[in-house]
This record gives sequence, structure tokens and C-alpha cells, in this order.
Amino acid sequence: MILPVLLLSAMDADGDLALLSKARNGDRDAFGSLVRKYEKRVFRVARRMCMNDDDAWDLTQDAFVRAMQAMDGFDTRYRFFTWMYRIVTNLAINLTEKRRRRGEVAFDEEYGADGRQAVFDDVAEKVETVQLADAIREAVAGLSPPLRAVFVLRVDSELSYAEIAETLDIAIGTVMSRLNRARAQIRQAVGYLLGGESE
Amino acid sequence: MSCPGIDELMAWIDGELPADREEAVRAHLAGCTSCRKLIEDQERIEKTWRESYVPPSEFEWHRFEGELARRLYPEKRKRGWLHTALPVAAAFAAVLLGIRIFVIGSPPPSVLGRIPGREPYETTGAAVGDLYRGGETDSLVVREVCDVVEETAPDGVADLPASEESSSQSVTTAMEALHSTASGQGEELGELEEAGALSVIATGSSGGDGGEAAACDERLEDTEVTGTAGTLVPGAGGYQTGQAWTEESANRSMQVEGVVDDTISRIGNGEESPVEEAFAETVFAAGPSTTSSPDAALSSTECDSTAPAGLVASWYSVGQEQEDEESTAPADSDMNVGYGWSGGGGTLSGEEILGGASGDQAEAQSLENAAAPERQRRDGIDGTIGEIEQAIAADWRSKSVEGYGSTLLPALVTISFSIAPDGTVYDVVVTLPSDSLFLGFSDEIESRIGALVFEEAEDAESVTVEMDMVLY
Repeated sequence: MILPVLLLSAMDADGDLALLSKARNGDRDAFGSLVRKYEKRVFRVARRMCMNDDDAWDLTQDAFVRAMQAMDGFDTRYRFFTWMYRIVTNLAINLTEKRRRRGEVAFDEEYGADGRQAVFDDVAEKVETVQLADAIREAVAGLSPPLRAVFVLRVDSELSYAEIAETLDIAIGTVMSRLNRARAQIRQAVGYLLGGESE
Repeated sequence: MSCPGIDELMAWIDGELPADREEAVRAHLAGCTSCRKLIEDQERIEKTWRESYVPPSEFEWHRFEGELARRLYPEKRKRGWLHTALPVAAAFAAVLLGIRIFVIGSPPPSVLGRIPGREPYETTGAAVGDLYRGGETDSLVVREVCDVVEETAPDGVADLPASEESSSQSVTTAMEALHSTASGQGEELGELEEAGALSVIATGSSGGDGGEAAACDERLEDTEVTGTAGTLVPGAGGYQTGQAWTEESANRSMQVEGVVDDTISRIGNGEESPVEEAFAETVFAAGPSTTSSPDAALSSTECDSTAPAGLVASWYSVGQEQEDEESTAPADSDMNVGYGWSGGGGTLSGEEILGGASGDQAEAQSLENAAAPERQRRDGIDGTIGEIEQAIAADWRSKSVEGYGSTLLPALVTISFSIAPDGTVYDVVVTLPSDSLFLGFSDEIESRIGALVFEEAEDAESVTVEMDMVLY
């Protein structure tokens, strides 16, 4: 798992390590560039994990603050973006579990980041899709944080199994099993909207 | 062929299967409706999930980045307040006092289009207000203020600390020293002190690149000479940041305004006062009021009631461009030739104050009459300034996202431009504060006010305006 990562990092094809190096030397613009490059992706993970905007903004901010505080200790054999994903995912898991322990439910009624729903051309399709999206959202919200993290990183962030493994520091086999469990739970929860038996 | 396992089917969706297995699964799906249905359902679920995500607006990212920048660099914010408070208080007091002490040479290079904080701000000379934009450390500001005061202030006016400590405490100490010295210069100041409302303190500034006092004279000669006036409200611990804006402090600032207006009126009426001597001999200091934010400072100064909703208020100082050798004179003489007026209050200029101090009532009236044409001219400039204010405010509002109204981050914007006698506006420079990291909008502003801008002015007798606005 590490080998391709090492190769990629060594090449620094995305230029992140160069920026990180500058940031470590106090170059604020360099860190600002990293923020701008990854803020949207980090926010999306946070948003999907927390299911509400306020927590997502807070987590995104926390993630970059922690990244800055810890960048001196960053292992440059890894990629910056998986590190950022790891930070925000861990923060989100911690927050979600904390809320769950307290019996708090915190997700927006709407599923758009700004409260707006996605627009669909066809009205009938829209109704159907909105219903499905609503059901999926509830199903995802019902996943345990570790399962949700794998699902979000795969489906939203479109990370490979290896990248998810690197991000969450788990084995690829674990990634696959968690992903399959997450998908199965969601399919089961929304199956009534899909028509027919899906499994 | 038996159906592949669910793991393999999901891995096929994810493109994670080896080539040989991928082909085998593909072949299987062609003939297996049940597996195909599973794949289709899964893909539909995930497509719906992905498409249900609506990303935040650019406005929200602006806000986020501003908040993050302040959190990442808390000292930056502190410096921002420091650097912001200085010119805010300076402009505030300049308006209140009706004193023009700016003499502005060539404007600083345009910073339109750049992202604040991304590159050093180069000044061609600096007002105190310039320092906050380009200064790298608090100590630089302290040193600039101290250096120039030492150069330009009369002997004994100020005994400034030589410390280069990078902290607002240094500023506090410097300001308190100035305050203490200046407050002993006359009964008027003493009255203001007793009123618990105001201290007029002295300093000045020149040269934008730091440097030693020895280089100060040179900079004064080949760039501009600046000074400004300011207030420091005593009894609140000197210069402070982060205080909440309270009704009490608002009332206090209103008292300040009243006392200052009253004082200016009496000076303008020719009543004897040592204050004008201080004005004449001293380059006045920018001392921040204890109001803790630009908004707070603004709320106590004059607001343009005709301004659009997005414009809170603005300040400006106007200076006569010096094209002859006077422009190379030191600060303490230059300040005598400046202009100044409050936005709509018709307060007296420094020149008028100085002239009226030694004359009687008739003399004051004569001065008043002589100033009439100039007042008309200023009224015209007021109109132009109003246009620019509104254009910028409209531009700022145009950045807001529908439905979000005025929730944009407040931003202090400094606009410098020159106006020829025929009303031509040129040399417009819009400067964003350095602490508005990531916040870039100046291209739009430039475009919006472009219609008002002419690159060249034929008449040298133009005035130069520096204007601070808070937009939100």
C-alpha cells in the first residue's frame, strides 16, 4: 500500500509538498494555497459526515488549523490531501460519536450545503429523486461513523481503496468490507424506492 | 457461470478489479438481470447521493477564508486592528477637527487586483494610514511613528520610547507619552481632558520603508509629508483592542464629538487658545479611540445619509497637491497649507483655525468670506466623492449572494484619488486592508469606478483625496 504512495509523494506531482515546505518556513501564502486547493474537498467530507452545515464549517476550519499546527510533523512520504482527509474524517467521527452518545441529532432538513436542493429538469424525476435522496440521506445518517467515513470517501471524494486505506489508516480489506456493509445498509433502507428486489 | 460475490460486484463498480476479473464480471452482467439490477441500483443511489450535494456559495467561502485566516494568524488580526485603528482614528479626528494635515505627493502604486496579504505593499511615502497597510510588524509602526515624531515635533513635545517591542503595548506606551506631553500644551486640551473626553496627541509620519531617523529628512524631501490628527480617549487604558462596543463608549464618543466641535467653533471665532499653536507647531498624532472596531469608530462620526445601505460611512482628507518647492518642505510647515473639512459639517480648515486664532471677529468673518469659493469647490468635490462612494458600495453589494443581504464581511477600504478643478477624477487607488486575507474584489471595484476615472489630469491644481470606507 505504501509503495505507490511513496512513489507519488517522491515525485510530488501535485506540488503540495513544495507548498508545504514553504508553509513550514512561515510562508503564509503557501499555506493559503493549500487551503484554497483543498478546502472544498475537506468541507464536502465534513458536510457529508456531519450532515449539517454549521458543524461542517467548524470542522473544516478545525482541520486546517490542526494541519497548520501539526505540519512540522507531517510525514512527507504521504500525500497532503490524504492527511487532510484523515484529519477532517477523524474530527467528524469524533464529533458524530460524541453527538450520538449525547442523543443529539444534528442534520439539516435540506441536504444542500446552503439549504438549497439540487435542481432537476423533469418534475416527476425530481420528486422521485428528491424522495430517494432524502431516503439515502437518512440511511447515510444512520450508518456508524466508520462506515459513513468509508462511504463518503469513496462516493463523494472518489478515493481509491488504497487512498481510503491510507486516509483512515486501515487495511484495504477493511475498506472493502466496511464499504460493502455501508452500501448494503443503504440499499436495504432505500430499496422500496428503487422498485423490485435489488438483492 | 455462477454470480460473482457482492464484494466483487461492488469492486467492479469502483473499478478496483484486476483486468481479467473486470472482463469476466462484465460478461456476466450482460446475461444476469439480477446482478445488473443490483449494479444499476447501486449506481443510482450513489449518483443521487453525489448530485444531492450543493456546494457552498463563493460568498460562504469568502467568509470561511476570512474567519480561518483570523484564526490561523491571530497576531495578524491584532495587527490588523492596530493598523486599522490608527488611520480610522486619524481620519475620524481629522474630520471632527476639520483639520487638513495631509500633503500628498504621488500616490502609492496601484494594488488593484491583488489579493491582500499576498505581496508586500510598497509605499512611496506613507501616512500613518499607509503603515497599517504595508507595515510588517507592530514595532515597525511604533518605530515609524516615533522616528517621525522625533524628527518633526518641537523639542519636548514627545519623549517616546525607543523600544521596538512588537506589541500593542508599545503603541500604548508611545501614545500615552504623546498624550501626556501634548495634554500639557494648553487649557483647551486640559478642558477636554477634564471632560473626560479627549486628548489630542502629537505625532506624524513620513517615509514608507521604515529606516532610521537619519534618512527621514531625505524621505520628507523626495516623497510626501504627512501628518494627521487623532484622538485618544483617556480613562480606558489607552489603546486597546477587542473591546466590545457599548452604549457607554458610544455616548463617550458623542461627547468627544461635541466637545471638539465646540472647541473648534471657539477657535474659529477667534477666541484665544493655545491649541492652534499646538496645531501649528506640531504634527498631530493618530491615536486610536477606545472604540474597538472600525464600525464603532464610524458610528460616532458623521454618516452619509444619502449613501446606499451597504455603505456605513466614510472619512476623507483632502490635500492640495504641491507642485512647487513647498512640496519638499518639512511636515511642520506643510501642514499649514492644507485643507480639511468634515463631510457635511462645514467645520473650519486648519488654515482657517490658524488664521482665526490671532484675529478678531471681523477678521474671522473676512476669512469666512474668503473661504467661500473654496467651500463651493469642496462641495463639488463632495459630490464626486459621493459618486465614488456609491459606486464602490454598489459594487460591494453586488458581490453579495441573493438572499444573504448585507452579511458580507465588513471591510475597511481606503480609496485614494485626485480630482481636477473640472471634476476629473484620476489616479484612483483602492487599497484593501492587509488582514482581509483571501478577500479579493478589487477588480470589480476597479471596473465599477472606471467610468469616473481619467488617467491624466491637465490641471496641476488638483486635490488629492484619501478616503476610508467601511463596507458591509
